[in-house]
Amino acid sequence: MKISIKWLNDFVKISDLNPEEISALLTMKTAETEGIYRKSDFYSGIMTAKILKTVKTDDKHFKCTVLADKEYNVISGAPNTKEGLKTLFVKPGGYLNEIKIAEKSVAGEVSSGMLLSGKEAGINNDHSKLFELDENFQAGLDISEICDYNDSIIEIDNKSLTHRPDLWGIYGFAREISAIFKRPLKNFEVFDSSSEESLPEFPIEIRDKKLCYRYVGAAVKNIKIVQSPINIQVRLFHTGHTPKNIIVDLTNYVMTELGQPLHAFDRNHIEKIVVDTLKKETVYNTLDKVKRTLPSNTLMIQNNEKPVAVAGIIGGEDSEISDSTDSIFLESATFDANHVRKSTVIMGLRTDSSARFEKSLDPENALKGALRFLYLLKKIHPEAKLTHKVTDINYNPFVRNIIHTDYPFIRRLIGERLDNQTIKSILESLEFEVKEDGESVTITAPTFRSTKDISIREDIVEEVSRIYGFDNITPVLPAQKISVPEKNKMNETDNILKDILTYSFSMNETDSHPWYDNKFNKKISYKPQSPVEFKNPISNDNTYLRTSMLPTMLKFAFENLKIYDSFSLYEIGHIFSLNSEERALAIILVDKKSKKGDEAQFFRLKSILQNLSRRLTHEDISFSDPSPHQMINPSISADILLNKESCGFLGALHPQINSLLDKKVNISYCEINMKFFYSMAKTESFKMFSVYPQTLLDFSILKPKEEFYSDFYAKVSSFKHSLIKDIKVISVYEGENIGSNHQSITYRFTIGSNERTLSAEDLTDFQSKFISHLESNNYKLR
Amino acid sequence: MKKRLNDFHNAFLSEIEAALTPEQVRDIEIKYLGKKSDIHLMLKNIGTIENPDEKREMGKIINSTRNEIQKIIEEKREIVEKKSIERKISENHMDWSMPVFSADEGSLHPVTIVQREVESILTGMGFSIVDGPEMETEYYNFEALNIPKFHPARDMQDTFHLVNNMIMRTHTSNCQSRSMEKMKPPLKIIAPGKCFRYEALDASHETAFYQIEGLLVDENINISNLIAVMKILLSEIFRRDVKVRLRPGYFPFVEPGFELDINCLICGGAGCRTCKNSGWLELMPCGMVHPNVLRYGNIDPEKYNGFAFGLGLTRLVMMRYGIADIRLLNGGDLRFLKQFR
Repeated sequence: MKISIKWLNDFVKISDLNPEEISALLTMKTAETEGIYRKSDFYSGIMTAKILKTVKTDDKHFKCTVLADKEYNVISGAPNTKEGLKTLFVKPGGYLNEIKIAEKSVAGEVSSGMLLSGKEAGINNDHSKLFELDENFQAGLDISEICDYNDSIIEIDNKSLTHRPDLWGIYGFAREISAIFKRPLKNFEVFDSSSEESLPEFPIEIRDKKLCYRYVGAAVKNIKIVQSPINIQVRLFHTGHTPKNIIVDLTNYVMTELGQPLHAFDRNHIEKIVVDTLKKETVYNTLDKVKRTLPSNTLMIQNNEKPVAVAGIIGGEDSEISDSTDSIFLESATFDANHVRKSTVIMGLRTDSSARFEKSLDPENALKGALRFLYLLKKIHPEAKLTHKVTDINYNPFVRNIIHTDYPFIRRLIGERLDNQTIKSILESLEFEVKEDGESVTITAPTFRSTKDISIREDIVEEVSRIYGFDNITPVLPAQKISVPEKNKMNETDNILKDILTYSFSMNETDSHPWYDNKFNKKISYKPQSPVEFKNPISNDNTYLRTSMLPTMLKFAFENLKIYDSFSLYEIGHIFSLNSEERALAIILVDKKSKKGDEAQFFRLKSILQNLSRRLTHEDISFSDPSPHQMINPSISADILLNKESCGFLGALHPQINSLLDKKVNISYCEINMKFFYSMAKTESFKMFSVYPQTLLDFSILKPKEEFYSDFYAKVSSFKHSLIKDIKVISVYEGENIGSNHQSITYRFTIGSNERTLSAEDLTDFQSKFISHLESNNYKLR
Repeated sequence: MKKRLNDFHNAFLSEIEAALTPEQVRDIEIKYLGKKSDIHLMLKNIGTIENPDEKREMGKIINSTRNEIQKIIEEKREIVEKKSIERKISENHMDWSMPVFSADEGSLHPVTIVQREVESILTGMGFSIVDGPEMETEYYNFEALNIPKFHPARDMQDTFHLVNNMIMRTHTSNCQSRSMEKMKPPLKIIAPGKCFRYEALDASHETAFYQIEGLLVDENINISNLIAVMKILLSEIFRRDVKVRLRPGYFPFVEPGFELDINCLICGGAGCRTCKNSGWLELMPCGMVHPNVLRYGNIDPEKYNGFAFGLGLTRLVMMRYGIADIRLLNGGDLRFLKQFR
């Protein structure tokens, strides 16, 4: 929202303060300001002028003698150029919207300065003709002498006003400034309607009292649709409105001052106002010349049964004010905030009016707004005349909120020793009523703070502390008992894994969005199994939450392959199903293609997983035959087991993926549910090692190739002997001398005793027992 | 025999004098003291001398000559071995400035790095780390935070909605009520994690970003405590004394609510492009926990109160490393990732 310093000055004297100071204090105490616009930084040298003489130079142009501070020869091409016209003029050397106006040649003639349209002068958006000044303005005055032209405009961040319906008008800011600077707030003057009480009421019926709390109507005749006085146009234009005509401008003017939206109808279209919801879906032409489909239950303003406006949002095309309007019906009403908000969402249309209504406006302002309009209209056009008395149908459900609290509570929550009088006077400066009873206080909020903003004692603390100034509060650390934070197993485990993968295995950690990229999934022919769908996806390519991290990681791999040949990435991310969300560790390895490179990668992954597991627990990881996976090579993969249930897999990517890539690479992938790691626990203990010499014995055993290694090892390791300290595989050999049907597996046994040095007999005894164990299992030594 | 011994001795002396390597010394030792050496033979033959005095004297002389030879060999060996090592060292002079071939180095994601730092500061101050789901119910994301139905924050524009009637959490504040249900006050928790906003993607707006929510609930907590704790936290994060200011901010789950700004770290407060010439950077929404939020978490607001804050972790990461485009953070691009070793 834009607020004008000159306009504020109507209500609280601030002409002696600089706008920066006002802006800074508003930010600190009321609402965030976003900057200051100074008109004089953009425009200068503009004067009132009178055209003394015109000479037509061609079809379009006139050579004019113009009187401003002196006489100038000016070329004008505007259609309303004529002798005697009072208008605006920029002198040579002046600025229009930061552009310097020099003497220049127009249509072959030299023009000293320029006659201005309203748009050029920065007063309105009309560029069809020269701005027409009232006859009674004298020529040769600087424009700032006839209106609030050299104003400063403070821009307020609307988001910081969400909870403050009272700040959607300049008068609300004037009240804040009066409290902040401790300066008196001037009265908001309105039309005195007491003399019109004898007039008949205007027929108004509110059928839905839950959605329309109050409706004030006024019918006025003797209206002439003319342009507004220059100062009204300037103020409106500076605060972001486009001046149109006196009636529309005054509705915007009052809205900008008070925050109360008004709507003026052409009186010829209004016989009786009925406020009611639509009973069925209806197509309706709004005044922005758009045909809109409104759902049933939308609150409408009707002339009897015919809709004339969408309540609180926008008027209808037929009842709009036109140049021939000679009498008007003015609406100033209050509508339910949630209803207006929902309707704007459905219509996809937010207006200045709806933006205010959806903040829960004070119904007291409905009457005030109508009377302010009449006050201003009568001042400008005294001949305007009410045909009915100002009619007020009021079902206002709000009452002034009363808060019972006490001074010590307020002091305690702020943590600052404020005296009672300071607290009381701050609240009173914001128009709260304060009744004291010893240390207890009963605080009555003003109506304009009672619709949603102020309702509990903490709200009072906010009012007191912000005006007192948060910066004036001395920081003091809380007095608390010492306590040790609780351990977070998941967080700790994540960190351990990340460190190992990064620093031991040189991997790069990624971070990704939790949704699929449908385009990429299609490219790799990936079909997710029952993923959760978005109701409002960010794009048509991101309509599902991921059920696996594989496509994400593969996409990263594809991207990086444009630059790198070999790399390994990992991420601990979230995966989703309809009723669960889990964390998963994903690892992707990419290497230049080599013979058996896919198997090598598989075993690298396997060894990484063993390493992670050893770091977290003493248990070994169990693997099993792979479950089918659409992206994984069934021959080079395995499942990972947790308590005999599959909780992840590792494997080479299906060879079909390679056909999508230019480079020849091996890609392997592994994904494990993190609960696998979170469930791990390590028992800390130490076993005394043997202080006697130990002996290493190597045995190379022939294993039939078709035999599954883990079955083979189970049989080999079923050999129990008290001297075995450790068994390790040291080599796997295939090739010459052992026949093509066998592999030779070499184990290294560490043999020793904790009590004594082994004798030669111990060793021969061990060897013969082990060999007979092998023989009984039909294995031979190489 | 004396002459023979003398010749033997002289021959040894000239040979040992000429020896340069440990191998030569070893050969000389074998030649002059080995089993086949002359002195060995002479000692063997000593029995043939009949005169016992002569025999004794000759034995003495041979033994002392042998001992002397032994001693000279040891001395010589020490010298040539030392020389030999010195020679080896000087022959293998290395150029330490030759380049090394470094293997690929791994990297942590910058969010992980900064998150760990902030977590360590906050756990050091007694806060426990808690987790919450990214796919959340409207209850924990909104209702329990005093954001009623139809509140503007619930707009379709801001929130991702899912077909299972859940949403993607819009803040990690969803952990507030979840923690209050599980833990009793005094409560000091932080909830780091990813949150989601339904908004158009550009260099400074992401649909997904990280936040660290903090919550402290105890007896007699006040605004002055909030300011003090935030000042310490931010000074630790930025590793220098930072100026902070509070101004009013509206968030339904706190009352009073604040926006916390810090003195712009780029210009030091003088005004620059980063701080839009204000000298301040908006960093952290915070405030005193709204009594309704305590009630939703089954905590008695008459007895307890507290404060909450939301630290924009992604924002912090961008400030720390000078990352201008937020989209780099989840693009998986190694040219970006490799820089955070």
